[in-house]
Amino acid sequence: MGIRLDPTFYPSPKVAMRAPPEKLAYVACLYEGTGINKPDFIAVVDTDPQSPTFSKILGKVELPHVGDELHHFGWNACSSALCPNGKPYLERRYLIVPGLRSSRIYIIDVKENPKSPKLVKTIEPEEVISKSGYSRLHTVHCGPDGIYISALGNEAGEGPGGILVLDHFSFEVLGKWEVDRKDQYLAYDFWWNLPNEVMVTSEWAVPNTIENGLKLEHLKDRYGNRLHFWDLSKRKKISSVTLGQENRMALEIRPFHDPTKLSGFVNVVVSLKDLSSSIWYWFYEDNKWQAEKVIEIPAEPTEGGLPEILKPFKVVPPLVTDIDLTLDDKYLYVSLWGIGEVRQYDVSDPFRPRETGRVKLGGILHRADHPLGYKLTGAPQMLEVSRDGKRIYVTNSLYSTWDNQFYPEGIRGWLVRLNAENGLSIDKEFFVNFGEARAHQVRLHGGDASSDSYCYS
Amino acid sequence: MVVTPAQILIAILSVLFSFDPLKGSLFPIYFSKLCGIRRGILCLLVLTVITSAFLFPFIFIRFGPNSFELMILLSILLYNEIMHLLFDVHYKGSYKPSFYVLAKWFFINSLLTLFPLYSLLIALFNQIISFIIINSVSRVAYFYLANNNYFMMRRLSYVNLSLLYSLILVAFILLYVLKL
Repeated sequence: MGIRLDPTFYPSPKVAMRAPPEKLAYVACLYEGTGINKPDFIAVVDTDPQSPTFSKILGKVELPHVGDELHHFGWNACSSALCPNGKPYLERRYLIVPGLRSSRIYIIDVKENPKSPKLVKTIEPEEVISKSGYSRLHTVHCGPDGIYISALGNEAGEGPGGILVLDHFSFEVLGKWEVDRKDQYLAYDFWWNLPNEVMVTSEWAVPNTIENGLKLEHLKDRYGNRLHFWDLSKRKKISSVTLGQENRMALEIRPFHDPTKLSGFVNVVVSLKDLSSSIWYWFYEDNKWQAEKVIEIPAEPTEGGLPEILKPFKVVPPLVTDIDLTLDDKYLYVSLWGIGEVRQYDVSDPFRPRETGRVKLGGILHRADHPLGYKLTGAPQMLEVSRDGKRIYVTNSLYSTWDNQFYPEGIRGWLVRLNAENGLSIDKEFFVNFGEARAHQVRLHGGDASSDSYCYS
Repeated sequence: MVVTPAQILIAILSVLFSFDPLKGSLFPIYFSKLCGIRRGILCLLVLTVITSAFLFPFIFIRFGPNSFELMILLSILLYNEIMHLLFDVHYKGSYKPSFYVLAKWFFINSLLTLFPLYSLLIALFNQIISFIIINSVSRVAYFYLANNNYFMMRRLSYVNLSLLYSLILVAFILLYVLKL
């Protein structure tokens, strides 16, 4: 054991913004839904402009099984280890990569050679299910006392979904996190405010509802629209907030990184009223949890080019499927997977966000190509913001069966980089083509805006 | 006044303890950022009181520094430091910035890191008062520096203190063997 431990941990988000720029990105790539019978992989992409292999795929971690459907993933440890009761001797060494469809968990070691990571452990779905009762694994967050992973449902593909915990060192599945969930049934994303010991969770749907594609008749009552607030230490639900009766699919939880602020944002994918998307600001005030709609993005009327699922409506819904907040909590980035845009909002006043930039990439409405001339199938979906807030990485796949419904012409995976230093623009030097594989979450080597939680302001 | 090697080692130990994250060094900064500077300072006071509470019972115990007990004690301490390098025996507790959480967390971790045995060691060399003074002053200095400079806090948090403690214990044993 050396004298110095992991240098990528930062006590506060402001200090983390001064971290050196990322040189590598890890991208979850999948073949599920493409008709190609190959295992998914984690791609290693060179993001260093000084490197001769800039914007190239340097390597792949080929996984041993077919059909995992890689989706979200995260680190074994992060800046939360510097909380006063954390574990500062941990290292940001392993990527924790769950399969959303298989419920298998891969542990990938990036320490020895970050450009050529190694698969070091596989936790089989049987172990995950037998020890936690959960399946279909989604978000990964590194807590100060363990690795937390959300799950959409149980073994049978029904609810309740929830959270399971892995041991920091052995990666053993420790079990189900919830002690008292009350009426919480649907699950999706989660995050927390550590000093206030609050966890926030969101709702998509149970696996049996989503896995074979979106059925419009399910929108009425099988998709969630609530946020749940939990006591993080007692593991009990303390409150729930409904984000409009007409809204469905409350997805990404983005709390403010500043731990003194007990608030954040969440995106709602679709309104049953007019197919608009919305972003809600959630906060604790007057001794209760509340949420207020602060951004509404309407559907765009159009006649041509609509996939079968949208033809009855004659509009393109924006489909806001991901949002990401810069470490200084100043800018919120929003992906419009239906229309084909990424928007930048100044959220310095969270009740009154102000649009400050937008770019067009692919989309059912825009069908916009990359400035380098590449045809962009699909549209912006997952977003990842660099720690300094100057670069945004964008991929284009949502979920295999849903990709095929909204983009029946097929999706070829890509990774695009946006520059956010002077307004928002597409980086003309950077484009990664994953070919037949689709691309979902991006994690930046050393950490990014959605990977770490902090205990100091 | 002649300063002995043992006194120097105990002084080093008291300074290292003051910025050890596993011995509560980050709590005053945490309290200060979340609840204000006064709470941060009160936090320092709580840590000093608990540290002193561990040490004071040993004031009334008299040992000769070359006693057989010393060797036994140092062997146990060395063994336990090796255990620290290999296993996680750290109580995490709650994240709430409350004094109850701090006191409970610090007390349990002091036991887990064998602070009572360290206290005995300090008492053997009749250094209780100087340990408390150096440790308290170092805590205040660390709080002041780290509270205003997170980069300092990061650098010191990355030092592998378990290894340094083991080295100090080895040095103590060598002192005993060489009868310095």
